[in-house]
Amino acid sequence: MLGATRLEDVVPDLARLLGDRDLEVRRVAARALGRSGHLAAAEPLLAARTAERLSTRDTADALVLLEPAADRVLVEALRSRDHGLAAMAADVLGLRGAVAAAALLTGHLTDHTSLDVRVHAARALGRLGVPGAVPGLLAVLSPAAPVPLRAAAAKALDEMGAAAAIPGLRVAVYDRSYEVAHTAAYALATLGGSGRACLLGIRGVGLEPAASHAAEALAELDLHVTQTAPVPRALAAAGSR
Amino acid sequence: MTIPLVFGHELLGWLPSPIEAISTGLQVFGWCVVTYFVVINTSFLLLVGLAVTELVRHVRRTAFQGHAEAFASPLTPPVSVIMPAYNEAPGIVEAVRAMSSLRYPQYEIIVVDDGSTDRTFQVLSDEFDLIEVPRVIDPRVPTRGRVHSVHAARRGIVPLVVVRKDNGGKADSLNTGVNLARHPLVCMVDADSLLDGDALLYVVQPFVEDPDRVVATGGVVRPANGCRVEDGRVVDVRMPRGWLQPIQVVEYLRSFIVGRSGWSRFGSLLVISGAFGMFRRDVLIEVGGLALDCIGEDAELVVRIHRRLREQRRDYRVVFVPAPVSWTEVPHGPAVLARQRRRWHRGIREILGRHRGMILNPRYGKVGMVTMPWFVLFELVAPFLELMGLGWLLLLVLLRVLRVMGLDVVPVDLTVAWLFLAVAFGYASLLTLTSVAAEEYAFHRYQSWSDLVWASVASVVESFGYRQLTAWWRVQGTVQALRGSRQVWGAMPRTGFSGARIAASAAVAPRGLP
Repeated sequence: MLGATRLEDVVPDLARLLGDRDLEVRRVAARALGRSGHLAAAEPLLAARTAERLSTRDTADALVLLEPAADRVLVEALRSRDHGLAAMAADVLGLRGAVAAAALLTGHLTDHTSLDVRVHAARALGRLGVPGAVPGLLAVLSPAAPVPLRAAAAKALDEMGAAAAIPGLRVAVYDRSYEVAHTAAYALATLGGSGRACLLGIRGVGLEPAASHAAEALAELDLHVTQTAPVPRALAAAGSR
Repeated sequence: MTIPLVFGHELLGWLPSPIEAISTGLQVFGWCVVTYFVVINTSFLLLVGLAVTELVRHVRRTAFQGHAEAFASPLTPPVSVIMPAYNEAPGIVEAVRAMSSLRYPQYEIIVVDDGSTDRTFQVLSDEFDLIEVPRVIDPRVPTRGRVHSVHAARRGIVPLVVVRKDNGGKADSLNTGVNLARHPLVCMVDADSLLDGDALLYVVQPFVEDPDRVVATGGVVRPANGCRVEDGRVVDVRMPRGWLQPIQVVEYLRSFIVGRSGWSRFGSLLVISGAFGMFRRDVLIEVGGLALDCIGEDAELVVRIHRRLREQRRDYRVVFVPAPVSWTEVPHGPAVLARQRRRWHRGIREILGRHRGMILNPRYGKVGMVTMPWFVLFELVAPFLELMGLGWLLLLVLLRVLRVMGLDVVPVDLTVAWLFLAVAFGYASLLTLTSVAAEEYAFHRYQSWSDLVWASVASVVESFGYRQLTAWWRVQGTVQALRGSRQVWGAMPRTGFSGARIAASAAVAPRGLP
């Protein structure tokens, strides 16, 4: 309730509760801090996460709700040596639509020492949809990158719907990893006519399993195109009357 | 030199007479059996203590669980629900509809039709307007049955995929489902089960709170017999009447509320029911999915996960969540129940045999040093000792009767027999009653006092006849396994959940370990 009042005065009291010995109290306090939406809640939340007094998930859920000014604090967290914290910050920045963090996220995507941080950076970039991130994502789509990163990059490109990614995604459909190839094919399917043409080409070549991935993505695309939204029974009945 | 008195009988010389030897032997055996039952029940009492701690924690947390937040959060991981189905035509549509109305932000349903010979696929196709789609199936988890076709639903709110494949068994179907799953978490449910509306939110919670360490979670499986079902939801929880079904209800409560909660609290949960378990897909792929050649495939999977992750020295958790419930029908008649219990015991024997290298091996931590030896001593061996104890008791009573009739064949002291009765029957009944009380305290599912009274009566009655009967079936299961007999499933018709109250007459297929 205190959080829902959105009064800044309540933040210090709630922040103090993050130090409570009872986990449930800490979790509820974190939720309330998130609901308060104030920038002042960001630091205590991150500190509680660092001290392992809050789970990553509880912290992230609260941080997502804070006012836009909190992005600055999250960018600092993204630079943290605590890889868990940096990965969480990447996730939250992506969910908050913090476009200003895209350059740093792209840097982490290609250069960070932690695979976890790189994967989370890829996901965040996918959510942000910044065209400038496409070259970075394509770079980590190469077979030299670890499979989880390649799969995350393909998924991010899928979410971004960037036509510039088509050549890279075409190569990725031939990836040896099922997950990467499958995701890349689905990403192409979301890219309109050019993506569809690319998939038709891959299917036409017939080289397995890429051709099957392409066929599946095309079929899925057709299924969704022809699928009509379900009409609630009550409405349908009213319509028929 | 004199040998001391043995249980009140004087020694007649350096060597006892044959009669004395038999009498002493009977007494010694009696004490051994009593000690065994004291230890088994006390170990269960410890589990009760752990379970109650867990339940108190759960009750405290329920108010703060934040399911509304979890439902709204974009960070809640999507789930693939896998429903293996074999000849489930009467109830499959109802089950899928019920599964489609769960409160969870993003999930898909994968029904694996394991070569059904009835209209399972046709009824699904008619109801959900299925269309065949080309799907490339991830080959990483080994499967046996060939996949014929994959179908997607054009009707419905939740994405539904139906796979048609050659009959290969439940484990094979689940593995096929894992290969087809698109989400990072995989939930295995029986096609003849109904989940509580919030079940997925509950069972996902440990993954959300501790995403790096939690690899598997399980929920409660409870008999739906006697309960009222509306629109695929259990709306009125009642105790079934009769004698076989109420006893199974309290048995399930003991097994899940006390057994699983206790082991989970202890940190070495060994069984997650295939009827309702959630796993990280990457871990399932890593361990090779479910074993295709094992009867207790669900429990075997969890043991294998423990084994693999312990060997890799990884920090992980397998968690039991006491709140979410998967409702299922339990056998109505002794014939089906007997098959089920034989099968379960064969499963336990197979699992413990297959992973015997873990037993008392410090490398496997609490799982190897405590839980698995406990299962050997108190699950595998228990039915044998229970029946031997019963035989011994009957012999003692017979000898006493003969003595009353003037035929003092062997002198017997009934003190230990009374103790046996108190420990093996009284103590055990008390534990089951505690389980019922714990369930009532934590969840308060029963709305009527008569149901609670019925459950209490069942807790006591269980020890007189039912337990001995199930012990006998379990012994048969072990013997069958030792002889290498083939497991027979037999034909088992189902009623489905569309009836207002779960019928009390149909036979239902036995599923995995409870």
